[in-house]
Amino acid sequence: MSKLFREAITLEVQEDAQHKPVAFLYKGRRVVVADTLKRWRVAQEWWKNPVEREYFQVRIESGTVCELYRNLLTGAWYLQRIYD
Amino acid sequence: MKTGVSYAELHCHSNFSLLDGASHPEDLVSQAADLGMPALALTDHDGLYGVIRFYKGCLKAGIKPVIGAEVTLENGNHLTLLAKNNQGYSNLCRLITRSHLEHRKGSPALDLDTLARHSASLICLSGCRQGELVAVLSSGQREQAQLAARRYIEIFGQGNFYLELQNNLYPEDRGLNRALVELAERLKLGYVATNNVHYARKERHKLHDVLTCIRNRTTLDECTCLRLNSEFHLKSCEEMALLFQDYPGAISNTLAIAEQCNVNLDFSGYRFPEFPLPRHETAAGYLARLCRQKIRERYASDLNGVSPEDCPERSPSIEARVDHELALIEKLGLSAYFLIVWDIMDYARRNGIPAQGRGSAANSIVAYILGITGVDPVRNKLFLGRFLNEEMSSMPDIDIDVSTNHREKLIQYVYEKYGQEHTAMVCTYVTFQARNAIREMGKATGLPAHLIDRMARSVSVYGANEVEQDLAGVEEFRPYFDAQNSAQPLWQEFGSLCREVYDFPRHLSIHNGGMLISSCPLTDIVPLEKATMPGRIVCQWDKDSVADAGLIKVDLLGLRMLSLIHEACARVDEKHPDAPGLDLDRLPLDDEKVYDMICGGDTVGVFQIESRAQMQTLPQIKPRSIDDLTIEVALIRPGPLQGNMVHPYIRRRKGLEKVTYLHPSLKLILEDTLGVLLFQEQVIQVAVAAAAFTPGQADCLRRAMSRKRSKEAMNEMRHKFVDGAGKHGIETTLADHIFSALQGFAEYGFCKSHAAGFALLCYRSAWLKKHHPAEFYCALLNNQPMGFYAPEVIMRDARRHGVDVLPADINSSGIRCTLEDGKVRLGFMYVKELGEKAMSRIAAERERAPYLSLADFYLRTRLERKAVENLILAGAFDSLCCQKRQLLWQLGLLEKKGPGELPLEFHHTRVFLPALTEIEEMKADYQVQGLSTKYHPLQVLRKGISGNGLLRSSDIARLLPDTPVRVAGYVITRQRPATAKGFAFITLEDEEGMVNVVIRPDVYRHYRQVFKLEPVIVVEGVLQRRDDILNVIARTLIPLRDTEARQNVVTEPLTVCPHQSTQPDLLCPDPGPGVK
Repeated sequence: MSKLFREAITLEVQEDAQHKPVAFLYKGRRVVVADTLKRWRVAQEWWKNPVEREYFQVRIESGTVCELYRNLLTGAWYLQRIYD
Repeated sequence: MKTGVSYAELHCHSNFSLLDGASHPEDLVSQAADLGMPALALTDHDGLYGVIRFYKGCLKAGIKPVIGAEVTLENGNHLTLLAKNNQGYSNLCRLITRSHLEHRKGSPALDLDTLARHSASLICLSGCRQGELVAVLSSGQREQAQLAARRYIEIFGQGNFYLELQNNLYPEDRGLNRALVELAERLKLGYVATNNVHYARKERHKLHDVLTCIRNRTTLDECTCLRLNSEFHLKSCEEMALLFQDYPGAISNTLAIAEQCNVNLDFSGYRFPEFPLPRHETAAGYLARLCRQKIRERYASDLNGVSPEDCPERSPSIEARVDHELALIEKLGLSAYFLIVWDIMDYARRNGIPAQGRGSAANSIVAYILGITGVDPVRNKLFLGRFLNEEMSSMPDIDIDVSTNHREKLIQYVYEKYGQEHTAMVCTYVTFQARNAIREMGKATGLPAHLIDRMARSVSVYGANEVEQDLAGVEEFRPYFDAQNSAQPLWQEFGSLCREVYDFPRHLSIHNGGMLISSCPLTDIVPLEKATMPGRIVCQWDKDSVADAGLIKVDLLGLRMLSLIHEACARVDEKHPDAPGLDLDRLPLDDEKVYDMICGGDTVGVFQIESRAQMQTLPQIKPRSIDDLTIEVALIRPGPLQGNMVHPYIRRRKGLEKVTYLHPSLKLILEDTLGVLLFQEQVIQVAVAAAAFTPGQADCLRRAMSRKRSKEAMNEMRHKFVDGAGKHGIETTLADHIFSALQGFAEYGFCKSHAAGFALLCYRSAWLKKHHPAEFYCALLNNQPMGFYAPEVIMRDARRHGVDVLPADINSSGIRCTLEDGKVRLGFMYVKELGEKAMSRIAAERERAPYLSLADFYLRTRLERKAVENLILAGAFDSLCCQKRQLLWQLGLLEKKGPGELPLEFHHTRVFLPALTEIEEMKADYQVQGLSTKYHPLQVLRKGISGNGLLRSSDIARLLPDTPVRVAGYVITRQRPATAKGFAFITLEDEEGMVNVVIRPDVYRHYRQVFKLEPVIVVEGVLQRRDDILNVIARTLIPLRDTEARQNVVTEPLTVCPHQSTQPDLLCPDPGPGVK
């Protein structure tokens, strides 16, 4: 089961040198990323509304898994999904 | 950049993975070089199409080439194979051949047994996401994966099978790689990283997406199988190291594998095919014997029955020449090659197949004696050195022109004689050029269909890379390409997509007829596959790759003119069954009436001299001999025009300029062309005569000059030339001048032997037109498309020569055109939507009894409704004297009847329909057969425009020069040759004849779309007369249908650029038939 944010939530993320998420700010609290489970890139619709994102499926310290992505065109981070 | 880690890409597709790879092989090599990659593999789908280009490119760039392919297995899985050495390479060829030949065309597949039989010296990588292991592991079937892997180990050997890891940043990649590495460790296999490369640079992912859409016949918006991201380009070793940081061994293994792969693609050792010889004969000996036997046939007839012994001045030089040539042929190892070609021509002759050797082979006296060519090199003063010489750096090709109708038979003969193992057709590629790029890129990106169509028909450049530039200059399209127009980002992409797809192979074809004959089995060298024609096998290389690989081929080129001549002669023979058959090979070449016709420019349908440019020059040059025709054929081409040879020659020919020679010693070489350098052979001969070059050195010089070698190389040659000339008493400044002259012309000179061969055909076709016009036009209409003009123009030319053309008729026509009382009866093949079966059925049924009515016809043949409709509209039922609309109505009623039923007539089904108007009838004619036997477009439109003071073509002929004129006409040719400096040319035709129109660059720019797209136009301009040739120099071009603009023609003050020459170069030769 997962909770998909239809409008991904803007996130403030602390990155490492390779732009991988180390920790992020959620509802005022700092959440640390324990593990990156999956990582993939998407580059679509370049002919109308270009979407270029790098997705990370991460497990945070508490054990919950969530999905973040970084917009490769702007550098901004978003929270896409939380898995229960 | 170098960090001590290095990476070689082992899974890489070029654009020879058709509609999948998005980079030329050369671009992949270039990017690899930029990345500092030490080795690169090419692994296109089921083919080695691009390997020679790739191999050459790698060697040049200092990168190690690894040759491989991604093969498709029977279950649809992919497998990556790499050749370790030439034995592995041959196995790869055999595997690919089997996969193609044993399945339907376009669906190659390999089964594991076949794989096992040819697996030696191959390294196998387990494949991409479409590989078996990945498929099986994705569904968690670890046991299955192990079994599959064990099967491959058995086939290739433990050390030759690697698990392929890919990380294109897809969600499952990490998990899959972990599973694969686990499997590798369990089975003690190596694993290696690849990037499944489909394009050289990241930006090309866009083109790759578009190609995917084309392949799946869909658009970008609708395609469901586009790749997730743009990570399939060649990556640097740093990037790859990062992607595989958990498995560094995967990176180092790429080099370990590359090191084991060493293939040499120079096959020149296999080039000389063998000829089955009589016992105890060598190829050279047999060739010499044949020449001695046949020399009398060729040269005795020249001497008119006088035997060579009685004509001593002539014969020693001929025999000496033959001996010299035979010795050279033997030295170059080409004796068997000549025998093979002789044998093919001999078979052709014995079986009545019209064929003649073309091109530089006509320089060879051995070729002439053996009947390979029809041009006498002695009489034509041709020079062997152009074809064969000691220093040959590349092998000669003998091309044979064959009648298109008989070409198949000849190809079959070669296949049967040398065997399927040793013979294959050379392939050629249909590539993306401006027009099809516009259509396909436009469709895939979802541009509006009508716009795509207009752009495709408006574009005036040939290469797709210039499309954007060209179309953006047209007012109609400018707003779309305007960079400011951010609402249309797609248009920007469209332009660059066209640029990127320039010269990409689109699909394979065997259009050109080159045949590879090899001494070893072909599948040792190159994979074979099926051609679209049943039973035909084609190799995966085109003629350039074949040549670069060091192999020789024989080209059997279809020449429609040969079919025409053959057919026309056959018809003449039919008419005169008691006379001896017409043998044009023995036709004397001096009929004054034929030359009169040629000099008058009355040459529609005549081989090589019918184009607009030719018609303008013939009355000036006035050729009156076969030698003159040879010059005429060679002269009016882009090369000589660019090289500034045409006008000097014409001036000298007309006596306006004195004939001078670069140096007295060159008089013999240049006197036939009035002192003007025209032929490639002359360049060689001058170098030999003036500077004591050997023929081989001279040919090298000619080739180097024609390819614009480096300055240093040219200077070296110049020194050598001047030195040699000095020894002949030619002083330095003059020698220098001669060298420069050669340099200026070498690039543009035409091959005389080629022209001579064509001149023979030119004369024969002109002779037929003059003396047997009915048979000539019938054959001409039967062998379309051919030549410069559309069938409708040919038809009208026929009428002007007293040969009427009748529409197809259900009771008189055959499939092809036939003769009826000296008139040409069109055949059913001219009517659209009438297939082979339908046409045969009409003829077959008619055998029983002629057709009495539409009902009779329809019920007996039961053709498709559309076919019968088209026959009605084409006038095939005119002899029944029932008007067309009535017949169409009847057809509708008939269709509803079953066979055997009687048509019942009710009162209300009898209707009175108005007859078709002239315009309607003409339009229907054009729709249904591309021409109208009844009407000329101007004839029909004339009534509507007679008040407007428009002239006819016959009026124009009577006017004085410099008279302003307005003339309406139907456009039959339009050209804008690259050599014409921006000038464009149109030929208009009306009921009475033709009018030539010249359009200056500024006028063209203003009226470009009218020029390109309008079929009937009004031209307003000034009449120019030069040497009996009339041209209208246009000021405005207006579509006839634009009545208002037509009536209010105001000469707009166009700014004439002061530097623009007002003297158009009317002789700009045509690159090809006029565009409609």
